[in-house]
Amino acid sequence: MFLHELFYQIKCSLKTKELYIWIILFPAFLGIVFKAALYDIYNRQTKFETVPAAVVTVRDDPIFSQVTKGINESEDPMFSFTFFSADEEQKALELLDSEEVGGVIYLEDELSMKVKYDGMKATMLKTFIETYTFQETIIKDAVMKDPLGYQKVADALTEDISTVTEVPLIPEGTNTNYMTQYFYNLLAMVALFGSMTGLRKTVESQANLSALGARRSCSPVKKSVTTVAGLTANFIVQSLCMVFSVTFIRFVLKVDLGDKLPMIYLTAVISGLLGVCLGFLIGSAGTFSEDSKEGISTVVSLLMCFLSGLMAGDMRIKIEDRIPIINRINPSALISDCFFSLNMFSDYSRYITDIVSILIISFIFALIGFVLTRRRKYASL
Amino acid sequence: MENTIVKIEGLVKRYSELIALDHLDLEIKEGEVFGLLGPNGSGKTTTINCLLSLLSFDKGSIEIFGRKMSPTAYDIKRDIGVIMQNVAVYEELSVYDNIDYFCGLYVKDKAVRKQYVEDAVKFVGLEEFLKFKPKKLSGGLFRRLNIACGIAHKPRLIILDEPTVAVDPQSRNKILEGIEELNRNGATIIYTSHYMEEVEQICTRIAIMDKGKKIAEGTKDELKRTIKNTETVTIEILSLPEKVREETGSLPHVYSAEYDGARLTVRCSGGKHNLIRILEVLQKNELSFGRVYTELPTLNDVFLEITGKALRDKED
Amino acid sequence: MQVFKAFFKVLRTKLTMAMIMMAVFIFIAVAYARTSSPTQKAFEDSRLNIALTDNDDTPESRSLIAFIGQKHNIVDPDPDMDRNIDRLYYGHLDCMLTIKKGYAEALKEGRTDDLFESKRMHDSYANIYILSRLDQYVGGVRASMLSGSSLDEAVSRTEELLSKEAKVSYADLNTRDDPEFSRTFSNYFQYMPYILIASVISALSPVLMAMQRREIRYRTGCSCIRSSSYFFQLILGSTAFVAVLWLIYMVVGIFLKGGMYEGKAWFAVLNSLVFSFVCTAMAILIATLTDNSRVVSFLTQILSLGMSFFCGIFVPLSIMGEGIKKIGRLLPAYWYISINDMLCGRETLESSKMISCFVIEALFGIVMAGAALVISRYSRDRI
Repeated sequence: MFLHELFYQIKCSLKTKELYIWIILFPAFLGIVFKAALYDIYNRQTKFETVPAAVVTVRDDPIFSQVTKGINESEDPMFSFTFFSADEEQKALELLDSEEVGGVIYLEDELSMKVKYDGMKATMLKTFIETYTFQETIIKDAVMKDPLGYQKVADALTEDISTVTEVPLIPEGTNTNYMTQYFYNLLAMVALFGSMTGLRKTVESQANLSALGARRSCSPVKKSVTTVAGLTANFIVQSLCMVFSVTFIRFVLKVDLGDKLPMIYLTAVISGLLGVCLGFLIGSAGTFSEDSKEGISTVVSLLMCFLSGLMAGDMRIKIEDRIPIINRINPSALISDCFFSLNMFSDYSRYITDIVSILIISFIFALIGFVLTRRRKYASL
Repeated sequence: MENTIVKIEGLVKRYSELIALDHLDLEIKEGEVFGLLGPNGSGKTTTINCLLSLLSFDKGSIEIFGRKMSPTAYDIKRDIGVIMQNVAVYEELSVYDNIDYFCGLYVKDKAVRKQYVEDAVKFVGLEEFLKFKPKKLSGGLFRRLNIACGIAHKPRLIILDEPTVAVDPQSRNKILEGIEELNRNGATIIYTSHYMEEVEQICTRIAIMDKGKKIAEGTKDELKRTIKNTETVTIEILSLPEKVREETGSLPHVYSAEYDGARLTVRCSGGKHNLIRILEVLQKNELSFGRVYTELPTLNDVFLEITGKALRDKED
Repeated sequence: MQVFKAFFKVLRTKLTMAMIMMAVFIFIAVAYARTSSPTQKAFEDSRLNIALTDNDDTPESRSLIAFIGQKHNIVDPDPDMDRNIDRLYYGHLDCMLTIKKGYAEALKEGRTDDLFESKRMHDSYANIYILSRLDQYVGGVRASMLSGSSLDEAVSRTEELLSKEAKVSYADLNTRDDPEFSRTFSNYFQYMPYILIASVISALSPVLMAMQRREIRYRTGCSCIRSSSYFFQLILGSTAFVAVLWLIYMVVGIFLKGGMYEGKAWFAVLNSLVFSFVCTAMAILIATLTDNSRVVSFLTQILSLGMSFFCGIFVPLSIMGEGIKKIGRLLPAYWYISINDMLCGRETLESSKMISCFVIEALFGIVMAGAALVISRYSRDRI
């Protein structure tokens, strides 16, 4: 009997349009948006690349020219300079406007610069100018003090030194693109949207919530069997959706989810369980219409996702600084943190805390759901 | 003596202030087509829902097949077929899958089930629509699917709650014939409706309900015999002096004569030649009249006489 | 005004759900505005957050820390390493630095290697910047000492010289933070399109769908009311409802700002009013196209979230790629955000540009309302 129920519940779920809309089409759409709009921002904004700059030569300064050309020709240069004469200033500004250069440096008696936006690129160019001025002054100082010995000062200044030893915090090659967290949250959203199909199943098995529920209550099948079969069917279908989502993100959108891919799949499937249980809870609580319940489940899911950073990327860390308890219990935050931990850390302690929390919350949701649906007779239908 | 299939005693159901069922007693014997007749809101569906243990009730007892009914009485449920007022099928599943699903809740053996489902499909005449989604079916076919889902497992007791609401006459006849056939094949039927014609047509025994109470019970003939009306004569007539109406009313066996400006309705109780006597009065007064027809008493008359109101609103 | 009245009667039955939605969205908007730091750090305060551990603890190391502290924020590293990693990942922490034991000693002796340790997460601009700054600092001190200065003199001379700022100006003027409409407060308005789209469509469409249901439409069509009048009253009702919704958001804005709007902020208010109109038109169009509530909620999510990511609501336009912006231009929210960016000083404020943005934004609304009118006319005979 269980298998009969299970078979038809799965068949039913697979033919539900909402499933395809909410759990497959919508996330795919968002995934494409994320990939197109956000993923490359990291490479442009955070990850270091050579900063291009334009130099407008108002006054000839052979030393400056030599230094900048030296940088241009060095390996892995920090900056790359393009030179313009004073008459060509407009050209340089056009490059700035189209963001092909980070700033326009004016080589006058005193160095100055024009930028379009604030930001790290501009800051770095500014620092370059300051450094140049700084070194120039130190050498001038030295020449004044010891006109013959200044060369060793100059050598010392231009010598490539490295005062900082870098210790890697995380394994080399880890994906540190913080835009990836949008995809972690997207997966969390897919998992929580599973509540929509979950609540449908619940409504369809409750005599007081739907005609179908009443009809099924008249059959000689135990209610617990019907309920568990429905939830299992849901979970199986939800797992398929989660696997699809991970596959889509990893292989179609080509987002780097780290090298523990089997674990990612497993985590996705477990988070799906949380969504199903949430749906069971919402479905069994109260007697409002299925439409309102669906509305509630969408709003609740999106609110959770908002708090874990689906919309404003660094929400999670802001909450961590202010009210960390939310991150410990917000299902969406726990799910996205699982993916984050799998990607970031080689040890599993944080991951295990997260996944255990997910299982506990699922269990609590399911338990409340069972308590609420244990009634077999109703005061009114 | 036939077995008692359903026995309801002293059933009371309250919705806060409203009393939905007021000490209802019913006894249904094996092989009957038992009709539960009453206007909307008289408590028919509440009775059915209590019977099926979907609703809790305040007082009384319900026995089916001689055993106490409860939500966990699965062996009882196994032998009941339910056709609800609201169509309860999966929109996502095809016609065939729906029937197979519901049948499968009762019948484990796959081969038997296959046969049963085919029987049910043939029975309701949905052979050509097996792959259709329920939404694509017309109103009548949709109802027939609902019935197929209820009877596929060949239950001993079939409960139909207003199965013909919003159904075209053709489908309605098909459904009614089907119910009679099910009964011939040995099933006991409980049939609720507010269409008295249907109930008259198929039910072997009828209970009339109003405001949560059973106000009459018996075969249709028994019921009709309980009232004094034996014949209703209606005559289309353009104008009727009050004097003539009174004269008609005072004829022997006539207990009521009403004129509404176009029709004269005369209700008679027993006696022969009632029509001739009435027509004689009209001729004597040189009144010309149009169509004349007489009717035997209907269940509506029964209801009318007991409660003083019509079973259905005029436009219904 | 029978239709207008009916509109509000239907609305009343759907109000609870709309209220819940609105409460959630206001919560989201306020949370977003309250916690947002401008993604683009303003030039004047391009301060990095540096977690610093001083293992040397000498006058020299303290002097270095004070020097770094002038331009950047120095924080203590969190004892929980995970949280430091989180902060680095999300860019709330730019660098984790340790001054190693023996720093002062090495400085005195002119050694330059292995003075600091940096916990490295990725090659960020911030990281490379701070490393090169440290190299300069040490190199400067060493060079000064080579030219005969004492350690103290060398340190103070280096710090003095490194503190000198280069002259930087903006190619465009006017891109400054303005107290009338600060960047922090502008975040509330930046988020407004998401809130407006989501709440207007999800509150309005169910009402409109109920009013536009085929059977109702047919019955109304049989009555003697002119279809243009019917449509006009629907728009009027919708507009009145959205206006109330918008007013609530504006009042919340006043509380958030801690005072009445002033100066440029009024343009932001106007901007959101125009956008509310666009949303109304959008909701009417959607209700004309479908009478399936599930399709509507799907479209709501697609439109609100999709537009938010394409048009710079969640992530500033200035850091988005050109290709994406091209798509964004086809959507009304892009023009809303362009205006908002100009007002808060992320972009140059040019009145002609702003007016054309307003016009384009309003055009979207007019076109959609027009489309809805045309479709509802021609769909009358659609079965």
